[in-house]
Amino acid sequence: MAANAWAFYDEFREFLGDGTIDLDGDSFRAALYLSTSNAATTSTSGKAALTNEHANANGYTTNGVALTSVTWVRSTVTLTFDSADAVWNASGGSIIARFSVIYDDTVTTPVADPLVCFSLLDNAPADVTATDGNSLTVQMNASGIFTLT
Amino acid sequence: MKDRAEAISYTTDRIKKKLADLPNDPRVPRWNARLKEFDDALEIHSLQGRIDEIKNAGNVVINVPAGGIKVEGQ
Repeated sequence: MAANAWAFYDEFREFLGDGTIDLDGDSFRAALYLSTSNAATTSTSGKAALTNEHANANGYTTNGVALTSVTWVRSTVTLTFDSADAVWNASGGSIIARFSVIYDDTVTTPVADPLVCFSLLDNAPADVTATDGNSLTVQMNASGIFTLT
Repeated sequence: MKDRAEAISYTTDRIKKKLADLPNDPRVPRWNARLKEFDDALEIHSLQGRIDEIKNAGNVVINVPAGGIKVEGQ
């Protein structure tokens, strides 16, 4: 199973440029979406417009998990956005997801919870499943979530 | 876990050596009882390791490659 690299939503590029999104000041979350979701449509604007998030069950809580240890660091000409891994523990049933989405949980206007990026978790494409009692970890790459060069 | 297994194994070997060297020693019944105790402990340890292995086998870790944005002049 191989995941696709994080891909950006259209609005993220805009909000990064006009300062709406503050990568080293805002809070970010990672959420999981089903195969039926529109998470891969990059023109989607705001988390509320995303469809078919994983149900609030089996160890998954609606709106996903807060990203911790978020960093936005510059090294010469490269800026890196990174965080600790996002982890869910399946309990009472399986966690089954197709996409993971990262969004800004701080911004409320011009759109609430603007979308940053998404990843197709298994580029077969296929769902990934953590069965009851097991964990599902979206591991951030050693090179970070993304770089700006 | 591994350290405990090694310690048990080491002690068991020592008791077995004593049994081989001193088969008529009055402490033989005690050594045999101790050996049985360690055998049981090793079996439990081994089963616990296997249970942990099975439990962890289902964990899913997905490494997502980093994305990239380039800013370039025209």
